[in-house]
Amino acid sequence: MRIIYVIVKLITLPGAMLHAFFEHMACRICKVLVDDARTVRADEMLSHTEHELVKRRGASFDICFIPFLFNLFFGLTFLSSGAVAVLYLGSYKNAILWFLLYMGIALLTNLFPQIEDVLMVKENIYNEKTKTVIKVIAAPFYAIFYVGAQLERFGLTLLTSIGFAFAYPYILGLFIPRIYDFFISR
Amino acid sequence: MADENKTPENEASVHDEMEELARIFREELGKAKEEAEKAENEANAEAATDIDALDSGYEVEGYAVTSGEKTNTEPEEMCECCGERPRGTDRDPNSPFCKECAAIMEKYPYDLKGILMLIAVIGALILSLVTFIQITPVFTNVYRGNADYNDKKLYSSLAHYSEAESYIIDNEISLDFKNLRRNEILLFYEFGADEWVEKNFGNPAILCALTLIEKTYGTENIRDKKVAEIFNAITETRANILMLGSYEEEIENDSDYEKLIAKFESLIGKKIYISDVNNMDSTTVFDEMNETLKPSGKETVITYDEGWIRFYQYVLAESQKKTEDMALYLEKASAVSTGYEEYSDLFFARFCLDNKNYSQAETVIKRMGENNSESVVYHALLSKLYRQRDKNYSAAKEVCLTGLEKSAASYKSYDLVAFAGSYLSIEKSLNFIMLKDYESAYSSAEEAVSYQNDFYGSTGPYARDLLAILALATNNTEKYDELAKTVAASVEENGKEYDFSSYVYDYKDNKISLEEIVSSGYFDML
Repeated sequence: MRIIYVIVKLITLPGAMLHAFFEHMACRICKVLVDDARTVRADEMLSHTEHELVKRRGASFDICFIPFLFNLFFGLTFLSSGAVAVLYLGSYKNAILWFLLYMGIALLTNLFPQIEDVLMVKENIYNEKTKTVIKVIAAPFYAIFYVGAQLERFGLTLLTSIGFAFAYPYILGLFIPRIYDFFISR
Repeated sequence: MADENKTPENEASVHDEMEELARIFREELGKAKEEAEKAENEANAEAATDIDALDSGYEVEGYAVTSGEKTNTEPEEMCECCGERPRGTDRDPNSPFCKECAAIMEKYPYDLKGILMLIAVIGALILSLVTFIQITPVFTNVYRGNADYNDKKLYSSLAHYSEAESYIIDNEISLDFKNLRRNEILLFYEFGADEWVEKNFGNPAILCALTLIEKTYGTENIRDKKVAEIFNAITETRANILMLGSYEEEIENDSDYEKLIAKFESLIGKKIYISDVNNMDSTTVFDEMNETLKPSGKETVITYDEGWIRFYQYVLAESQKKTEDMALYLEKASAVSTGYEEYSDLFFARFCLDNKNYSQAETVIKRMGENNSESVVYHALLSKLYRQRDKNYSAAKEVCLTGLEKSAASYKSYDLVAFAGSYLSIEKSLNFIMLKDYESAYSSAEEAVSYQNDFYGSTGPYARDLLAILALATNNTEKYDELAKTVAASVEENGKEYDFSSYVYDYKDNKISLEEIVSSGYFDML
């Protein structure tokens, strides 16, 4: 499984490197001590940053959430042009559009934190000291992180992001035409 | 030998050597003692310093001080990073790192490769956004076109695809939108179904589909399964029409009816050979009964389509006014038609309406509506059904208005729809006549003329004659005179067949009423 994991990470290297970079950035923002911040490495820490165990609630959540958010935003932006042009409209002959599609998939494959970080979030949030409201608000995020991290361990996020790339134009179709009409009418 | 060397001189020299060695040993021993003493003194001095330090409150590895007594404990852990300073920071006393290392690790420098990747990705992100903004109008129109296509709103779908194509051309977008072309092919293919009847080889929609197939996929080894199916279906239909069309002369010449019917019957299952799919004519398309042309083995081989054979049997029955047979063959054509149900349905519905078989007509018309809810043919036939069967002219008029409204968007993009739209305007005008609203009827007739002029540059005889009659009905003599003048000029130039129909003159001479004209069916477009 580790080999598959590393192979998937290497296939989606730009996404992995950016995730590691954003995780490092999150560590610096949250003043979390970093052991090793190499963005390219051939082991299970590829796409992640080695840092100390975070015992602060906010910091442990941010370290999972900030790289997720950035990779998601970048990935969706790339897919907006790549998936729409290549997969939906069928512009198969343009290499740049294929590149944008690849970047989108690479970034979405590396959305999730490593499982240890997710478990730290659980430990820090789901305890007696935390208010119920916070627990409820954090629940969907924790669920997404947990499922995503588990999928990522087996390299399955590559498949899910490819599947998402096919579905994404249809999701965009639900609101982009309305936004387009709004701007045209102005 | 030993005894020979034992001389007094030798003994003396050995003695001297031994003495020298003893002296060196004593000197070295003295030095070693001095060093040992010195080291012991230093150790004692250091121990004294440590004890002083402990007394002043510091912890030292391996020792703890309680009430001035020295007790041996577990050794204290040093910083995991430097190994020199004790662990713990202000924020986290249990940190495995010392303050100095923690400060460095908090600001661990970013990896250069990561920074470079981020810069590259931001550049690509801008490119992605620009591309997306550029293709958004295409995406919007194609998405809506696809949704309309799935909802069987073929005219709206066509209008959206056309808008996307216009945008691509106007903005000189060089991308190949293969899926857009594919969807257009599917649409034109379905669209062309009810048009085969009038222009077999010149069918505009089918020609559009064929051109797009050739341009996008080529004509050989088409990989897309659906497009390949369509191309084959069009090729087979064209070959069938070409082969069966060769009997049209015999049909027109009132040949032996039974013999010709049997001849058509015998064609079912027979092979047709196509030697060049890109250039289909009587030299490249022939059947297995052909005596001059023989297959070489390289031809595309198909069989006669039973649906088309039944249709030609219907045409033959119609030419000989055999009503029962007409119904029989139309029903059979409808039952076996492969992908061209609309084509048979149009004839079938018209036939049923003409023969007052309204329940059958309603079934067929509704089926047409399911295939394309925006079809002008469907709306025109439904209006005719309401007008003839129910005498419900208001409902019939509303159907026309709905049909015109639904198909309006595609008038801009596809002129054949506009022409069909003129049929609906005429049908609407007939309903207004029956409602005795002649002003509205006149407006509708003008609308029909306008459609035809806008897209064909000329007016068809039916729209022109209806307008002339309604100009008389509404006392618009100026308009009637204008039309009469144009017609007179046309007759002078082209002959008497360009004159008004007898209904115009009869109405002018008060020989026939407007209601009688409508009931005659002369102005029924479908």
